[in-house]
Amino acid sequence: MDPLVTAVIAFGFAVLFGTAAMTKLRDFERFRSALRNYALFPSSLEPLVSVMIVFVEIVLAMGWLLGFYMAPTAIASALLLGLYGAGMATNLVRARSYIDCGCGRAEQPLSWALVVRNALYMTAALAVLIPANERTLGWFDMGLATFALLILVLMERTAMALLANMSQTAAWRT
Amino acid sequence: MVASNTLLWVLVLALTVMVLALARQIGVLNDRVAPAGALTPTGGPKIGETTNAVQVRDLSGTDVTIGGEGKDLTTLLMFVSPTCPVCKTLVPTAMSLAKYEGFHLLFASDGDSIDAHRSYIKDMGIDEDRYVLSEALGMEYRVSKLPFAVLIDSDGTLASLGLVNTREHLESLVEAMRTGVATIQEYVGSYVPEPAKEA
Repeated sequence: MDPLVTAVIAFGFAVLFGTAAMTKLRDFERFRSALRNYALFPSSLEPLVSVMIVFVEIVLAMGWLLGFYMAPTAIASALLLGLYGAGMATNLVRARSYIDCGCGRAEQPLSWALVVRNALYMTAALAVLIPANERTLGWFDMGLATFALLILVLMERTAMALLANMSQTAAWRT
Repeated sequence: MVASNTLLWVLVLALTVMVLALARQIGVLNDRVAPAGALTPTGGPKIGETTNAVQVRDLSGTDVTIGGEGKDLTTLLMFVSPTCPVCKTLVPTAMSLAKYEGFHLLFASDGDSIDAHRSYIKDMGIDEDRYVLSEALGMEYRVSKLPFAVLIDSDGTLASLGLVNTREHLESLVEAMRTGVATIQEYVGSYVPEPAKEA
């Protein structure tokens, strides 16, 4: 695979996990109550788990940014995203779709679209395990990577905005 | 080559920004055109009838009677839950509306742990004696979806009730109490057009 794709994926995940950890830290209480509402483990473990999740997200963001241990970072990221997806799927099966997904700045109910989103992220994370061909990246590649990254971030925001719109109109059909 | 490629990237970026802006605008539009009245359940107690008195206990441990005759204030009863995202946005709205209209405001909930409720009222700035936990109360008014509001008139009659998602929904309940018309359907049903004058 072209190293440019790997670079875009790596920086993309650095931004994703970085902003995820920042959002959680900025309103830690909200994150904790969102986590409690998932009802996946005894509430006595919740303080520990909440701190651990933020810690792991920061470590992963650094890992993607520095790129020294790409393979372990990719596998750990896919595992974490898989865990989130499984947590959401569990609550969707339990018909607890009304809880806050805790996956953005605004509150948003759970949906299968979010599970699919996580599956796509997992695929992207694991894609860096495909061996890259030898090619040194020039300044032009860096420019391309910047544009691609910006567009990816904007597209992610658009997808989330559309999802929020969907759940908003879904509430009308009671 | 480089110039045309860069131009393309810039154009794609600009397009993405515009698509995001459009998606956001659709969200704002949805907000504006949301259904304008509270959704009233068909079962349960009838509007205009005297409500049954329900004994409940608030979080400070005091017994409160909700409904029944002999209250001197109109009571706004809001059913909320710590796990419901929409409730969070509606709690301050209900507070400001109750203050403006001079209603006695009570929040009702059930389920979850007591600790979850306590941290919830601390977050939302609700007083302990304004928050009651009761399953019976929810059954009484057939609350199936949250946030749900019940307006009980000062003489103990049920003024209006329904599922509320926005301030407009809450205000529609107040309007229903003032006009004595429960729903727009009822209003349209009772509307008799004047006979056309013969020319």
